[in-house]
Amino acid sequence: MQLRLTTTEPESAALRPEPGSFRDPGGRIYWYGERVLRTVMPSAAKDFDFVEASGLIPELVERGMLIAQTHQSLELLGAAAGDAAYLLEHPKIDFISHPYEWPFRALQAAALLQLDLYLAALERDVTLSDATAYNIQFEGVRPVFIDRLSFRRYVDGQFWLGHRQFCEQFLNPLLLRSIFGIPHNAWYRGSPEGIGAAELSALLPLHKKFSWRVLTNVVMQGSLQKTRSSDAHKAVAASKLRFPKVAFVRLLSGLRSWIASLEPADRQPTTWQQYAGQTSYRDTEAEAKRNFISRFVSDSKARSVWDIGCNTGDYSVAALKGGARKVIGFDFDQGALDLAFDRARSEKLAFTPLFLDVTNPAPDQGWGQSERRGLRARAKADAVLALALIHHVAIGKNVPLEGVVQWLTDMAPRGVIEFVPKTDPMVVELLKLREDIFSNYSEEHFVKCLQERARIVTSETVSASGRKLFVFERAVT
Amino acid sequence: MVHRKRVIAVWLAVNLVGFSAAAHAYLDPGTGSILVQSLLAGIAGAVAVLSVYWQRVKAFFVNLRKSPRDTQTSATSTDNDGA
Repeated sequence: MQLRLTTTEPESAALRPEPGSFRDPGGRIYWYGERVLRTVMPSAAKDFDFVEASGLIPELVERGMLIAQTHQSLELLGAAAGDAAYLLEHPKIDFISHPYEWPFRALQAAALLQLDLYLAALERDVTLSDATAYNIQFEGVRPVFIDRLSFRRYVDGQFWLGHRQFCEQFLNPLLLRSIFGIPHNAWYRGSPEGIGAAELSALLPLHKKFSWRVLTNVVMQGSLQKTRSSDAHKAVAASKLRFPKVAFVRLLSGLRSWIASLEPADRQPTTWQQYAGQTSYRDTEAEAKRNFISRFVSDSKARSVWDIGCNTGDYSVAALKGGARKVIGFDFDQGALDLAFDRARSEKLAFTPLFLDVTNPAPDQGWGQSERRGLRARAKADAVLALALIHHVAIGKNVPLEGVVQWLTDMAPRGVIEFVPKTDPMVVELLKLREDIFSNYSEEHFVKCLQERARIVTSETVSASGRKLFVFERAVT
Repeated sequence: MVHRKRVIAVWLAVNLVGFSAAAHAYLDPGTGSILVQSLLAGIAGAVAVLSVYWQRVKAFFVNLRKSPRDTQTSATSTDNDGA
């Protein structure tokens, strides 16, 4: 199993604006080859200077809460610099994930980071111009804030202008799961600006509305948001008032302790949480499989690995033990993702578990359908793992086997795919209540499909039921 | 003394919710959020004013109770001084 990995990326020095960075005229992100540059426009320069002088930025970077920055010469941008006042460079983030791909725990951790940043900023008379969840990314399961330009000078008495956005993009999606047990992902994906207060409020049973926090942040905000002109006049009049700092801090810290205490309402074990304990794999077989994965990763020298169908992360951990620097795990089961997230946090793993329905991955969406990139456009892993997955897609979802193989081999230039035969108890279970229309579902046909797309490097039977792991490798495109 | 406390109460009320602060942002804060925050600001102002009056009420009773003892204490201390 000797695989070679070419890590050199095409050195393109082309300058292109990041399509997701256009809302704040105070600056924007450019890609310069593989480098990430940020302009600061004159309209934001005074605030930028104030925040630089406040000492807040190095403190937050030091605490791992904010992405690092270095000052660069504007000459780097050439004519594209326009009348920009400053140019910053940030480290590149390998994989951008969206809040509708985050499990509950990730959204919760991101919300707490947003509030902690705010509380630290206010101490130095710095505020934030927005509160969007897209400003947060994950290193493993540790959230990191990535938008330096959100920090602005705080003027005493200012309102929290990002309060509505915070509620829509953090609080309301979390409440959806903690009150109703409904994961936020599908709704959030269909509505990338988040879940509106009026919408959530309309669903709440009466007794839930009497809690002061729900009443003010959800019910009242929702009912007062209605755009009748009389209300708008009231709001304009209200916005002339001062929002005292003491009330601001109280609002932020109240939200912080509330959000920290939220738990999913559906805590009973889901199918896949139990799966790990089921007997489709005996302990020795699971051990052999883990060793196989570690060996594959160490032989192929893959640094970034995608584990599709990661469950609670057993094989993601095996990939890390094999030398992977980062593993992104995908699963559609919320209970398994919660456990995977807790595990990555307690064991400090470079493992990020995300929500994915393999048959319906995140699309290109938002403005111009390029603001939030779909999964395919972000697929840059060195290796992909698809263990105990294809029968769920090919039989559970009727996707033709060649389609599953094509999708997986497109994800990365190499990987491990497990073939689960029809005789396996899990497949028998899948077919228990339905007609077997899958005459093509066989190891022979799977091998044929795989060989059309890639070279089979090695294969190994890893269970008494005949499950087999196939290592594939294809040309890097 | 009473006059000074009243001045403090008015100052607190004005300072907490009284006048506008410049706020420029690219984001629409939303009418709902602004109205909710002004309610919270009003509550913070009311709490601040009430706490001043509460201090007055508390001070009144404390003084009431303290007054005779104060006399005693000063008498004792005089005794001590004399001892």
